Amino acid sequence: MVILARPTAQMKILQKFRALYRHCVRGFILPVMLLAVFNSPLYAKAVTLVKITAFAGATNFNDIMNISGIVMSSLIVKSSGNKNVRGYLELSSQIADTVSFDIPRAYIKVRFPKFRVTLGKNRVSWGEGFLFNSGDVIFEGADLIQNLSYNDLRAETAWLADFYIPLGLFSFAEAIALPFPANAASGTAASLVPWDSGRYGGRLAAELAGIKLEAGGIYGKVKIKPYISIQGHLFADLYADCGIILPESVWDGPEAADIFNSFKRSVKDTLTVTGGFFRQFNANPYGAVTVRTEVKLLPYGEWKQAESAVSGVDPGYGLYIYPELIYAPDSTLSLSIRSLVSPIDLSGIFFSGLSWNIYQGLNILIQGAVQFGEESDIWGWGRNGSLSCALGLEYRY
Amino acid sequence: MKRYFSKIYVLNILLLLALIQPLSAQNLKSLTGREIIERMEANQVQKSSVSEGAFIITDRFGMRKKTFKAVSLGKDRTLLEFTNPEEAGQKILRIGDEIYLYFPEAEDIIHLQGSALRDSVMGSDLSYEDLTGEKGLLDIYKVVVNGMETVNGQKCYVVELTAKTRKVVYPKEKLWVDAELFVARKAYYYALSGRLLKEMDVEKVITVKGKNIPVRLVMRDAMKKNSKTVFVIDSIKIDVPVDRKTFSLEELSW
Repeated sequence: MVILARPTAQMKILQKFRALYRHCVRGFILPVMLLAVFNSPLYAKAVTLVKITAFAGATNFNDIMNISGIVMSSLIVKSSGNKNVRGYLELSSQIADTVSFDIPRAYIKVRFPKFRVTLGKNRVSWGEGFLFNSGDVIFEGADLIQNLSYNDLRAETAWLADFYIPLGLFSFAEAIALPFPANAASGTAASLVPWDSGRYGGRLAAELAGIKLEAGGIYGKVKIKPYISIQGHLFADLYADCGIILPESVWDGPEAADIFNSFKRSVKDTLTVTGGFFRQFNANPYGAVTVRTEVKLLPYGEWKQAESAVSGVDPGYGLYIYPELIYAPDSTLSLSIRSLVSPIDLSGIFFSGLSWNIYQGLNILIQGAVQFGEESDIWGWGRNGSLSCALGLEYRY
Repeated sequence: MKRYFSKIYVLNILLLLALIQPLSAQNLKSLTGREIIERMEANQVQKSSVSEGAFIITDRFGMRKKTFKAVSLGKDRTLLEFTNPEEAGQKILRIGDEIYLYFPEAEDIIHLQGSALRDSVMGSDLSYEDLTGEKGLLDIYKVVVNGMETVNGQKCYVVELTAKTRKVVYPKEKLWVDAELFVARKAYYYALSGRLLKEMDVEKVITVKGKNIPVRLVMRDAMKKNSKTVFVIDSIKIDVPVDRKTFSLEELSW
């Protein structure tokens, strides 16, 4: 209606534009202008990257070895050339005997003089931790993953509106709003979510005397998840996070004592501490050795073995350990050993991999994984998928 | 910072003196190891620089090229961004002894301190310390001048460095420092046992605003005969205005 109310003004502008356009075309102004725009530093170029990873593998299923193959590909188109605006689009597919497509990332990031804004589907990394990270209050539930072969074990993305405010060279504040659940495959424009079903949060990070401190939290409809995170160096790079989940009902209660008791119960039920160390040893002339170990500790978790556990599902045990050892004998080859261990039921998954960068952008990948444990454990030998191996190629161009 | 700039000032004066005085064989010989290293480091330290270049890693399977752009301020601040497709957007920020790595796919910043400085940069024969400059050599090494030799037609001081501490990548180094330009023309890097680990040859030097800057150097791992890393600076501007905010988490994660 607003547009229809001003037809005369619009037509006048249109006529002026047409006249200008004719003049420009006749006078060669338009080509010159186009040339100027395309050569201006404001003109954003697009950079494309294609990642294709193909695996052929075998795994045990129903007591026999089964073979399979999968091709995972990503097409990334991102802007470059504009100092203050970033656009990023990633299309991905998985092709096996079926085909699936996804858009794991699509966002615009804009930098203003005092803050920056990201709008779209992207990842944010809160807290510290390669696998275990109780500070990652946005993306949860990735701790007991079955596939330890990925370079980045925490790679979920979500639709978000993110405001980042630098407070100094190494300090910042960040506010975030997430309308859809963390594990939503895709939020479409048609999805309408009541405002109180969304999640809202923030964090504050600062560095003091070489120690990084971070504190923040996420508020959702039924729960509040605060966390603190610390990272420093003492013989190795050390980091730790501590998070709890408070139901919104924690504040309900007529007396302060009720609130306190409810709070205490929530802390007991959900307190999670994660931490780890990371150290690199120079193995010259033979290369480098990297050691990382992370633990996930639930002080009030289950410290006795459950009678039966579902494969790969966390029964709430009090302790998990993730050790990792990477040996790079030279600049092109790396051998990695990773394991995820449940000391309570003495089960775990053991992964070994080799990556060989043989030509520009090309890696040869050889991987094997084996589970150990008994039938009632989280992981166990003889279960479906307890033994697998794969040969793969990864090409980036 | 005050101490740093006063040092730069002194080094610049030394460099100017070196440029305006015709260098006779007599005063070449009269330089001490400390003076040679100071003059060489004066070339390496600029108030600021903006450069673009590449690592070219060659082995028996062929060549892999990693391109980058880098901004540095003084001796201890460098922001390097990889621009080749495979690693595009990955950044390394070094401030003193601390390194921050940014991985755009994970939107993650990893803070490394201490030993991580010794790690290889993107699988090259260069460590982060090689790339961004260690602390002053005189802080770490005892220096002895061991005569003069000619390298690629240039008269060079032969300088032997022995580490004062064990916390260094190379406990022993031998440098051939150009007697006129005060640039290392060649270097050998040794293990504590005396075994040769790496060797470096500077193939091209340019002069920008009075500073002699190696723009093409070759690193070879003595243990791998078919392997080398060529480090090339395609363009460099020095002493240009660089905002201190460039070396911040905000810029790193942008």
